[in-house]
Amino acid sequence: MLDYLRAESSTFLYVLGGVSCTLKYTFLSFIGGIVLGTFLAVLKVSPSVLARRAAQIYTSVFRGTPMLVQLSMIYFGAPSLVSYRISPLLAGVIAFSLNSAAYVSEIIRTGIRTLDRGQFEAAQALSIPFLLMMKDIIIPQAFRNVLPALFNELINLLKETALISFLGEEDIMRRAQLVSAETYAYFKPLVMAAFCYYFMILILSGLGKKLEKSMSYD
Amino acid sequence: MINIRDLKKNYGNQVVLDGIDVEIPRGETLALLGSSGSGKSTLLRCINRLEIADSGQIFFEGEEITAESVDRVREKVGMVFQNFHLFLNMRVIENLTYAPERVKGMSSAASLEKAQVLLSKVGLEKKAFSYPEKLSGGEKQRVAIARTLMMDPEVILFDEPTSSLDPEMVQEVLRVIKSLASTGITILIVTHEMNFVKDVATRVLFLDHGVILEDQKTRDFFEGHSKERIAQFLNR
Repeated sequence: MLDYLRAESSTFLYVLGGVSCTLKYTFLSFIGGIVLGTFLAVLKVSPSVLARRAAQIYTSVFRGTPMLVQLSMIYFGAPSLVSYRISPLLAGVIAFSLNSAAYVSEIIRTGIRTLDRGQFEAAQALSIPFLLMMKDIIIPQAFRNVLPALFNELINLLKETALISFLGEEDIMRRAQLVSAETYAYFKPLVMAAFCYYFMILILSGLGKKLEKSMSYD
Repeated sequence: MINIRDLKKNYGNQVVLDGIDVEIPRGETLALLGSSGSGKSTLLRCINRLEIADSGQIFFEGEEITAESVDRVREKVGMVFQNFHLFLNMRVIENLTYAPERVKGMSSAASLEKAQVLLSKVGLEKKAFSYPEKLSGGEKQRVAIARTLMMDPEVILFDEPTSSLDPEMVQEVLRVIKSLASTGITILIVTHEMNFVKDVATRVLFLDHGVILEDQKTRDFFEGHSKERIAQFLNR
């Protein structure tokens, strides 16, 4: 019995070791997605028709194709065309960031749209330039309005990073697969992986709620 | 100072401004009256291009207000809105100092000092570090007026500044506007406060269905009216 528990717990610890890899991809990609997504959201509400159209096409393409196809194109496809090597980390972070930006830009655009028009008019009346108005007045308020949706995106991203196991990176999912391959037991390692993901998401949800509260203006 | 020529504006099929001609000299306190939908707010908003007229011209000190010149004009023409429109993510003091620092390049020490002077002028020096959400309607509007004054405007456009306020807060805002009028700054105000108009305005523009029905000195305007439409409005 003791031996059984010892074996199971060492398997679990091995799967758990993938957490750092999963988190690394999640957070780097989330930052990339937020930066690019915010930029795209500003394009989407800018006075320039060309900028709005370009941002819309971007979103349409990245939402309209599977994540796995995008990841494969960046890791396998593009390097074969221009003959260079790209690390799984770089390919993964680029692919997840580009994909996430499409969703983040829509979230932030919605946040901007829900703001009172008066915020824009007051800024215009004070002759505050468009980009300054966006950076200091509109985007901060939009972020606050959509914080729950952004945390949702972070949680989605965390789950989607499981695709990185496809490139051989030892994240939670890959480690569970390795255990399965070695022991021919599929159910238990996957339950362990699911538990790790679920536990991380519980923590993130809690952090999200705390952050939301701390961002009220008082 | 402000010269408006044959200004026209439609919203779809609805005519909002139907050929407005008016000249507003420096130092005037001009009240725009008329029932809702008469075009008075639209006229005000056309002056700083928050609305863009379909045809006609507006000149500010001889320069036509166009998409290119509007930023220069907006630095000299302040606006106070019915619903205040304070920047909700900034404290009161930041609402005041932001535009002078970022748009006019004022030093932060100078803008802070000026903001404190203006806040005490509108009786809100104690609220400098509050967020707008924590203020009453009257306080928000006084902050909005102070924010406009930070830019040293030559003209202030007031678009129904007391219409969203509880009755007991109307007077505190009107007092501030009255004291501004006495400094010689040019004021254009859309309002329904007739006592204030009688007391403070130098001239009244009465709009009806997008045209100027009457343009008179305040005293003449309120002394018995032959025009039925205006008598009706004043007696309602």
